[in-house]
Amino acid sequence: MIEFGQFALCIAWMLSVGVVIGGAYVGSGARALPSRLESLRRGTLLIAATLGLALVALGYAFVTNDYTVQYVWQYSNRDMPWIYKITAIWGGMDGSMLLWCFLVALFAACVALRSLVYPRALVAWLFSFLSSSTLFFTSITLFLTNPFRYLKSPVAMPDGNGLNPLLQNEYMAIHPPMLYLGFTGLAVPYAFCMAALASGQMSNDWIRLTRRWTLIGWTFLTAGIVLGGHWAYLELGWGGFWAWDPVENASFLPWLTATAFLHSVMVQERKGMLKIWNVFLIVLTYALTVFGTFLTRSGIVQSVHAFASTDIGWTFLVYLSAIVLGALGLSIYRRAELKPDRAIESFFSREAVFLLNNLVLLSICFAVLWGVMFPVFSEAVTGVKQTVGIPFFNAVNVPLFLALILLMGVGPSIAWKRSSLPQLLRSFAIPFLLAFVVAVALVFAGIVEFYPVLAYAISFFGLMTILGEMNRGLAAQKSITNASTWSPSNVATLWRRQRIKYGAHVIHFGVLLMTVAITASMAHKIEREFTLGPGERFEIGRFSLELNEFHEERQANYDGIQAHVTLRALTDEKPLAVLAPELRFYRKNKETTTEVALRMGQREDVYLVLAGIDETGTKASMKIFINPLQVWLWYGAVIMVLGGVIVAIPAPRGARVRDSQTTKVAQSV
Amino acid sequence: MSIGIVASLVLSLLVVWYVLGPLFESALPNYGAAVQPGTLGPLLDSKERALRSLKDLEMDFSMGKLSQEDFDQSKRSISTEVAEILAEIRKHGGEA
Repeated sequence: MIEFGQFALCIAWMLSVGVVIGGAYVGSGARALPSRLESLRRGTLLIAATLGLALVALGYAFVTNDYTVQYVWQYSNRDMPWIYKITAIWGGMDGSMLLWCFLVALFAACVALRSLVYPRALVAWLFSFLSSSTLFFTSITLFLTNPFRYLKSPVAMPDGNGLNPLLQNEYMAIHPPMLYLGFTGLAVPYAFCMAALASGQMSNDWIRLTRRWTLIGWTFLTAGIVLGGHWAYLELGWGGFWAWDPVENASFLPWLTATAFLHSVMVQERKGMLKIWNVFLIVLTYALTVFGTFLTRSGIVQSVHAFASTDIGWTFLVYLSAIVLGALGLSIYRRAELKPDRAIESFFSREAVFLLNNLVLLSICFAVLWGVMFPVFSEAVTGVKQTVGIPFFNAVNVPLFLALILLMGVGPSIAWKRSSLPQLLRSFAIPFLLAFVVAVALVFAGIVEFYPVLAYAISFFGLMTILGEMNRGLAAQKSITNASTWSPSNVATLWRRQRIKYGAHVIHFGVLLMTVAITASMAHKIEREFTLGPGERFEIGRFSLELNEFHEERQANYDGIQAHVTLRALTDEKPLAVLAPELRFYRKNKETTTEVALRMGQREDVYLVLAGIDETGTKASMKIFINPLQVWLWYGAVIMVLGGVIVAIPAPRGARVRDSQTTKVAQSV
Repeated sequence: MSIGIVASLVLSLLVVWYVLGPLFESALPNYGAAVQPGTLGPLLDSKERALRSLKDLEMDFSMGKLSQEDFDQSKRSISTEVAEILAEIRKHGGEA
C-alpha cells in the first residue's frame, strides 16, 4: 500500500507538471481548443484524485500500525485511539504537507468542475496557475518531506513513538484541516488573478468569480483560526485563547488581507476603482499563506504550534520570490488595463470608508508581521534575538481594531459615490448618542479603564447602525410589500432579496459579539493560584471551590490523576458542578500534560488547572481563571462563519432570474 | 508482483486514458462564455457598473442615506454617463 501511495504521489506530481506547462501553452496564443481544455480539466481533476489516494494510503499505514514507514513510526503507537491515528496523518511535517497538497488540488478540482462557464481564454491559464500551486507543494512532499519513506532500521519496530500528547485532542481532527482549507482556498483567487493578468481577460468576470472563492477560503480560515484558539484555550492551560504566538499570527496575516480584499473588491465591482490595489491584496494574501507555511516549517521562529526545524525554508523563499516577481511583471505588462475608471469623488462615501478600512487592516497586518519578524531582524542586526510579547501586540493593535470596528459601523450606513456631512450627522446621531449613554453608564457602574469603555461603546454603536440599517431597509421595502416594518414576512423578504448584504451584517454582528467577549475576558479576568487539601475551601469572585478527593486513572497510553473539586456560588450551598482538572503522564512520550476543567457559562467561564500535587499527596496546587463573557467569543465566531456561508452560497436560480429582470428594468429606465 | 505494483500500473493506464482521451474525441463540452472583441468588452463592463451605480443610488436614497440634492446631482451624473456609454456601444456595433 505504501508503494501505491508513493506511486500516486508521483503521478500527481507528473500531472501537475503537465497541467502547468500545458495550461501555459494553451493559454498563450489562440490555442484554447475544447479538446485541449478538456484534457487540462481532466488532468486537474486527476491530480486531486491521485493525491486523495496517496492520503488514503498513508492513513491505511497509520491504522494498520505499519511501523516500517518512518513517519508512521515517528507519530503513532499501538495504544493510541484510532481517531488520533487518523489525526496523526497531519501531526507532523511530512503528512501535513501531503494533506496541504491534497487540499490545494481539491480546490483546483472544484474550480475545474465549474470551469465550463468561465471565459475560455481564462480557463487554460487558470488551470496552469492552480496546478503551479499544487506542483510546488507536491514537489516538496515528494522530494523533501516524503511521508512514504521506509524506516532505516536493521530490526522491525514493534511499536511507534506516539503523537505529541498536546495533539491528542479531538480539536486536532478538525482544526488543522479547517485551517489548511482556509490557506489552500486562498490559492484560488490568486490563480484567478494571475490567469486574468496572463490572459488579458481583465473584465468584471474574474473579479466577480474571485470574490466568492475568496469568501470560501476566508470562511474556512476564520473557522480554522477560531478552532485553533479554542484548542489552545482547552489544552494549553494558561486561561487564554490567543497569545500572539508567531504561528497564530501566521494564520492571522492572510486573514487580514483577505478581509481587506473582500471589502475593496466591492469598490472595483461597482466603480472600476482600486484595480491594482486588489491585485496587490490577492497576491499578498496568497504570499502570506506561503509565508505562514515557511514560518511554521523553517524553524525561523519558536512556537508551541511550529513543526520541528527543517531545512526546507529556502524552497518557500524561492517560491515566494517567484510569486511576487511574477505578479509584479504581469501587473506592469497589464498596467493599461489596471488603470482605475474614475477617482473617489468624496471623502464622505462608502468607497472612501472601504479604502480607510483597507488601510487599517493593512496597518494591523504590518504591525503583526513586524512583531513576528522582529526576533529575526534583531538577531541579524545586533546578534541578539529579542522577542516582542503580548504587550506590544495589544498596545499597537487594540486602537487599530477599535478604529476598524468603528468603520464597520459607519461603512454600511453611508451612501456610495457621495454623501454630505449633515446627512451623515442625521444617520449617526442616534447611534452615537446611545453609545455615549452606554459609555457613561459603564463608568458609573465602575468600569473606568479607557479601552474597555471605548470598546463596549463602539460595539454598541456598531450594533445600533446594523439595526438602523435594517430598519431603513425594511421601511423602504414596506411600500412594496404593504407589510408592517418588522413583520416576519417583511424581514424574510428583505433577507431573501438582499442575502449578500445582510449576510455581511451577520458577519459584522459576529465580530461585535467577539469584540465584547474579548474585551470582557481580557479586561475583567480574575486569576489566582492557591493550594487546597481535601475538605478545604477557596473563594474567588462569586464562587467557592472545595476539594473533595483525588482520583487516579490508568488509560491505554497515559496515567492520570484528577482532583475532584465542587464548585458552588457563594450565596448557595447547592453544588453548581464538580470540576475535575487532571495531570496526565504519557508513558510512551514521557511527557506530563495538564487537562483543564472548565465550566462554561453565559456570564463567565470557570477555568481550573491542576498545577501539581505536593510530596505527601494530600495538597493540590491549582490555578483558577474567571473569564467573563468568554463563551460569547465562540458564539460570535459561529455567527461569523454562518454569515460567511450565507454570503458564499450561490443565489437560487429563481433569484438570479429576478436579478436579471431588474437589470432589464433598469436598462429600460 | 505485489498488489501495490499492479494497482500502480492500473492507475497509470487509467490516468493516461482519461487525460489524453479528449484529444481524440469529437463530442466535447462547450467551453467558455463568449468574450466580446476589441473595446466592446470594457464598454459592456462600464455599462454594467453604471447601471449598478444607478441601482445603488436609488436604494441609498430610498433608505435615507442621501439628501434630495445629493441624489439629484448623482443621478444626473450617472445618467449622463450611461447615455455616453450606450452611444459608444452602438458606435462599436454592439447592442445597447
